[in-house]
Amino acid sequence: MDLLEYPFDAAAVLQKKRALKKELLQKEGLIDKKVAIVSGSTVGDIRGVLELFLLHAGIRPTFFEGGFGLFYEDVVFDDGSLAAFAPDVLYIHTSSRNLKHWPDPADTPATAGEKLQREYATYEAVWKAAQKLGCPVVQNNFEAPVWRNFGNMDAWDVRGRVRHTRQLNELLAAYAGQTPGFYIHDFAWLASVYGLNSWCDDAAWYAYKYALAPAHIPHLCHSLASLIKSLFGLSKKGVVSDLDNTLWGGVVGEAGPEGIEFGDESPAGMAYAEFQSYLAMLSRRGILLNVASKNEQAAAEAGLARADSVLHKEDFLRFEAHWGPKSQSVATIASALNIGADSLVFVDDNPAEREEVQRALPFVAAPPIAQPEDSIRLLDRGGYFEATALSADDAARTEMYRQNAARAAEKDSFADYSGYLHSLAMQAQIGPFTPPAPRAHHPTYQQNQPVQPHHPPLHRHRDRPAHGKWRLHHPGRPPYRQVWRQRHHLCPHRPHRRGCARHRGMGDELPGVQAPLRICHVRRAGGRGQTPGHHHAAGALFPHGQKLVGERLLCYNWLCIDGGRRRGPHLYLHAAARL
Amino acid sequence: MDRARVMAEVQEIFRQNFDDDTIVLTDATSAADIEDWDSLEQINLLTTIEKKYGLKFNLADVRGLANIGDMLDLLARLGVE
Repeated sequence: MDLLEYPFDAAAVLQKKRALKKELLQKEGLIDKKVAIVSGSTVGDIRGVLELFLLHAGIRPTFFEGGFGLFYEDVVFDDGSLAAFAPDVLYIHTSSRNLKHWPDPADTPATAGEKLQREYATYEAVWKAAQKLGCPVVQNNFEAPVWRNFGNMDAWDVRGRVRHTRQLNELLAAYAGQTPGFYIHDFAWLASVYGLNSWCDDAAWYAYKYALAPAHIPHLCHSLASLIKSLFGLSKKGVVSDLDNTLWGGVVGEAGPEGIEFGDESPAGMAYAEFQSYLAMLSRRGILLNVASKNEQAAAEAGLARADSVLHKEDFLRFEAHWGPKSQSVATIASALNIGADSLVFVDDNPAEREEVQRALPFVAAPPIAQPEDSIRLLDRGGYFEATALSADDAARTEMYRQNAARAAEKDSFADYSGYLHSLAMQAQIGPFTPPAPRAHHPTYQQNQPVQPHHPPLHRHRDRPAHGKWRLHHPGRPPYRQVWRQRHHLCPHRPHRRGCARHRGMGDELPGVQAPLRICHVRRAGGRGQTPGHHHAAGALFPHGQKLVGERLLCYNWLCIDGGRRRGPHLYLHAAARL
Repeated sequence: MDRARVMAEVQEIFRQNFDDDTIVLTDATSAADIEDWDSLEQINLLTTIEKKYGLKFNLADVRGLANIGDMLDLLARLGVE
């Protein structure tokens, strides 16, 4: 439904919300989720419009709406109704209108600082109280005030209101950085991108107590729905991109690689180069890039082989260059990557191609890109690739999918599955093991599953000796336990789960393993008190976290299938196989 | 202002907003006559009308609008042709 796809007409969304809702409720396969909204201002249409965007994303929400302006009381002094509602996500809709401890021209730096802390403490109390709900918490940050008593000095003086909101936002960000399950909804960014004058409508506040102009409610809800989608694993996973007039100007098959418009020589060329850089950045955080082009393969590759090209053929997982319909290319790519076509975004400047793809595959998103200078905005603001966490695994995802594809090809060469398994020559050792870090809630395997409550604090395990064993069976390796302790247990940079990237855990090279090895099976074997007999039958591959570079085994993973919650020692089955 | 034409345009806005093609407005039509017309919808209607005619109502404008007749009077006063 194009009415709800960026760039949507906010006025039309508000006007047609009844008709839209009727239509969206017809959709099949909707996931039910409970959304609690507590607020410092009128919720009003925010609820109804959020419902539209969530339905459009495949989520059928039921709502809990707190009392007017009672976000603090609703959560901190919950009479039981919020807890009984058991939300899947809690949204705290507050804005600068709700700030109570603004600095004053008479303040000293010390008193201004105290006010900031007092303000922050109010919100922190809400978040702490919300932890008992065991669901993700989404908190608006604070938009800059529209008026500035000091003028420009408001931005840097501690008594300035502009500075006050910025400092508060920093404190929010710091809390989010160290609190799993807590997410900032960037209200301040939305306000700035639409313009404070337009976003913060004083009349709407005085007359209706709306924290934002009603005309912007769809923009707020679209942004919020993107975040909620991401929490429930519904963000898109890959891009299928056209080449001619999408990644460069002109038709490479006619003009040749030197004749296409790309790079610093022209304004449009710069725009195409920047768009390629944007896609490259998506790829570096785990979004899978693919090509669907109506071109001869050689011509298509030549366009990416230019010396100044940002993207190269190796950056794309699947390269479909032929004259068949693009819907077929998209379907081929989806099945080759083993992901749903609804996880793909089709990027093509040609409206006819977009329509052909969407007609055949209605759940493929296809932003209406046309002019190169708009491409980044249309792809970016669509909210397709909203992230709520980023791990080393994300960065390695393209490589992982490449290996999956290779493995699938290898599998196909065997007549039956057991022959394939035999060929892997798997060996396993089983023993009790305490994994060093619970997995974050990770959207990759969170789809259609409830988000798990907050993890227990990690430091509980931090100082405990690693008493388990987890071995890759390979002669000549150093004691694995020692390696594990070096890499995880004794890492000075792991005071909390998110750690620093270098010491995050999975993803780095394991020292000492030189031989070509491959983990081909990683499965959670059972919870507290369970016996090895509970382990899952060998069979399905669980590829998450595998990473092979060259012939060296680089990455291990333990995957808590329950979403990362850990109660005690688990038993794991790990199998390693020679290639 | 061509009152009949503006009435027809406002009526079209009402039909769209309430997703109901049977709505017929008269000067006397008020919130009591349309079931879904609550304070929230009032805001939406005003926002839609503002956009349609490129206006911005101020606080005083929208106070004491009792019925459609008042709304059309307001639009006439603000110079809607």
